[in-house]
Amino acid sequence: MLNEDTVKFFASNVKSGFYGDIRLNESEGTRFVIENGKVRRVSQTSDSGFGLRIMKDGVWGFASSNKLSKKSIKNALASACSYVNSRTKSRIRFEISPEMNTANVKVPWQKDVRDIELSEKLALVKAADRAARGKETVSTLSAYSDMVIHWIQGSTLGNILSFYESYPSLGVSSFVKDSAGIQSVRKTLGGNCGFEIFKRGSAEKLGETVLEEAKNLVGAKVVNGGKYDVVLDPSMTGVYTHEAFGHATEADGILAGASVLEGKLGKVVGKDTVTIIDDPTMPGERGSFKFDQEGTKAKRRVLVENGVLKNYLNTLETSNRLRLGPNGAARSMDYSCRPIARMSNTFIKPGDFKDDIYEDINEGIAFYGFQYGYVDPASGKFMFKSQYGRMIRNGKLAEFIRDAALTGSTLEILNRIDAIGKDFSLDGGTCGKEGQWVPVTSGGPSIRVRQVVVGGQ
Amino acid sequence: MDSESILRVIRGTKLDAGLDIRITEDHSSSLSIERGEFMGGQADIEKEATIRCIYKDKSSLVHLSINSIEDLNLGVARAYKLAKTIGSEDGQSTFSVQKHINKPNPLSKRIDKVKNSDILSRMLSAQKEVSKLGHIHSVNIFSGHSHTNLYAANSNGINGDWEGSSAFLRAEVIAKDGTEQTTGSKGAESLDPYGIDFDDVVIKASNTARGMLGAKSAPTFKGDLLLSPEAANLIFGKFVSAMNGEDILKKRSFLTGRKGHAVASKLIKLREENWLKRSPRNRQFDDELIPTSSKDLVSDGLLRTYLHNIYSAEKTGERPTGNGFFGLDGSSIDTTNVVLKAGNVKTEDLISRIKRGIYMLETGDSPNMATGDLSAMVMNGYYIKDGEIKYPVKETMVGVNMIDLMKNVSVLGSEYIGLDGVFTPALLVNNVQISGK
Repeated sequence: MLNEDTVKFFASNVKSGFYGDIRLNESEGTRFVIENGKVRRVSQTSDSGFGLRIMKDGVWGFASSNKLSKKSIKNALASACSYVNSRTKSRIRFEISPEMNTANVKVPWQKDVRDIELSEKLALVKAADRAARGKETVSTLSAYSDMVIHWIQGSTLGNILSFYESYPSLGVSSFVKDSAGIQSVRKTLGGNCGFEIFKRGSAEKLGETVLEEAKNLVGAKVVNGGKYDVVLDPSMTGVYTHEAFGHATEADGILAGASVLEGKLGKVVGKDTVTIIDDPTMPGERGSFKFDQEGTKAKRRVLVENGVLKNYLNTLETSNRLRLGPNGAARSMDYSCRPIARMSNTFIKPGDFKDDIYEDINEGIAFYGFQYGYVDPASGKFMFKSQYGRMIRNGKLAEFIRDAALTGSTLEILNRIDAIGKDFSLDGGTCGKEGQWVPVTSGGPSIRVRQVVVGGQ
Repeated sequence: MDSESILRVIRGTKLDAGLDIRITEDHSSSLSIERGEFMGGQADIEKEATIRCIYKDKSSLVHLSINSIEDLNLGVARAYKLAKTIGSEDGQSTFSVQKHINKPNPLSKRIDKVKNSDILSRMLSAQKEVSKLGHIHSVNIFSGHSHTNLYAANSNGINGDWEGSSAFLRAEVIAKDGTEQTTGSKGAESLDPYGIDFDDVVIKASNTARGMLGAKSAPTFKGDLLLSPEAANLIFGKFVSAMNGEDILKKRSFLTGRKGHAVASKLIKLREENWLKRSPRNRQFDDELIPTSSKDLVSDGLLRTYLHNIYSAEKTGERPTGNGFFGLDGSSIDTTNVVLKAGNVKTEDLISRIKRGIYMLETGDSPNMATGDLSAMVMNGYYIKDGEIKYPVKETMVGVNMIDLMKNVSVLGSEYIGLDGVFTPALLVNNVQISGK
């Protein structure tokens, strides 16, 4: 049933006058968790099913099932119809016009993770875990996971696509202890690619880096709360770019009146040195894809150019309602989820600053590595916590600090960026929105931001 | 399908390995309205199995979608092969041998009578009421309900069936004044949508959004922290997470070594209740077929227990506590219902007792689970001086260690909420670091 005929069967059963599309997928994955060198967990997952949606007069009906049969597709269509045929009508009207792409994209990666022996995957994560252990560490926690997804999607208009995604990932945490308790540093390596991402020695290097950074946290103090000039490393820059700014560009939030960027297209939203890009076409990155989940070809989107807001991230619905062109931002976690506007690989374009980025800070904080954070795109309020930090004193990096967190408002911070570094890197992660988790990357250069509220004790 | 049929599958395999199988079947439905317009609905059916296998002290887990006994048999063969070839070296040695009572959640049958048209009318009516208020920019409401059947059995001959339902409503109201936008979010949950007061949820969300207009950064000072029931809900949820037996074992919890010791004010009476009227989280057995139980977590200020699944119980030499619930990585640790006993002081009286402090309505933060240090943004909240609310705050953070926070609780309020199985009142905490301008 995971074939083009199922798409055609679905399309032939959708009533005239309705738009309809269907996503079928089959996924398979493996996961190992290693703790202190020992295999703690071994698991495999497999899943398949379909999600379909129909639309008429501005109302969507969506239904999904993991039973892939003609009968369950008909039942799901009946469920979806019950919403569309509801007595309550929407006054919002829009049209759905997918790109008429038809493609059968073969597996694009060099080493298919499904062809790699389990023992090789296990050896990889064990090597990373071993490298993350030193005399300072009290424990290590490492995980290897992969997931291969085959998607087939199409609509009542005749477009049909078949393509694959593959997400191998290696993550390592090293835990160190001092009188304040246990601190940890975690790093990951992964992408939408094959097993070739793990080059010889890359697992060991990942573990060694984590260990080196974790050692710095022994004896690190909690920062005193207050307002500081701060420098964000590429990881934290990426979190700001993705969480605080990127989510506010998602056009479903714009239409729901839930974004600080509503009505700001074409207007100045930040310093003229700031350019922000969301690019799903970057080869092999975790947030990359060739087609979005509505069949629109992926394209690079300049969100902010020299401080001016240039684009929102659109689905077919939002692009029609906003009278903008679709730009391939509709993503769904799996067959059971409807496509919504999402980011891919989001970053700030690098500038010219090097170590001089710290120079005129008398007392400030440098933030390193993202731990967690959250944002309210409607008000722009956000909070991010880094894995660790360093005080900046008289223009120089000084002692390490722990549990450093910062808060602010999306647009105020964008206007307080006064230096952009020449360095650049991306971090892979998983972004959550409305219960859907999709692979993304975020990053950029180091940036300096003036007068930010930092939490502490 | 039921747990007896899973037992038959297990017996039929005749494998030289232990097996534990859990099947869930979910039927769910949701509706959304955006700015007063019905945007659509979603219906999902999902049936999946989690199969665990122990072969000579090595364990594996296979998670898959299933539609037939054949699918289940294939999953079992895969789990067996995985345990035999690679298997975890540090897993549990056995599955549950404890008998328990099979009892469905009694009100769950009402879920079959839910009409989407009724829910939609209630959502639109609640939205209409608040849209008339000043400064309201948009009202977005999302509702959902689901019906779940769970069947589980293991190779020790233990089996269990459970049926339950849940419903939720989430309202997000955005207020606007000039270029300033604020958000008020409010959620509620029950066994079915008829147990939720839609109007109340949407009105409270709009009150928060409107109340936050004109926010500014609070000063930096040490003072009192008044937690709303929602803010207390999140913080107590994290506190209970720190009782996780596996984190205690691995010394990754700030509650390590504190069992039997003072961890909170004597006012704190925190219990797990495995059966509460109209709670969707009621269960007689956990995901590992161990009976759940009602028990004191904190009383007289002392930490009374850790929470164990079979793995952490085996490794620490304690008994499983019926808290083995499956997470992404297999067996994890969670609770049924957690209840912090309320006091009898109204929120306005709590405010009047504060000389200088912050009333935190909402946060989304987690403490450092190893040290207990919490650095939390006041997502929505007010600055209080001399017993009165002075202004809404933004760019304001609260810094406190979780144990200090628990020990410095001085008054428990009467206003109450239950979300994600955690039931908490408002409460007042003294001597907390506030960081602002």
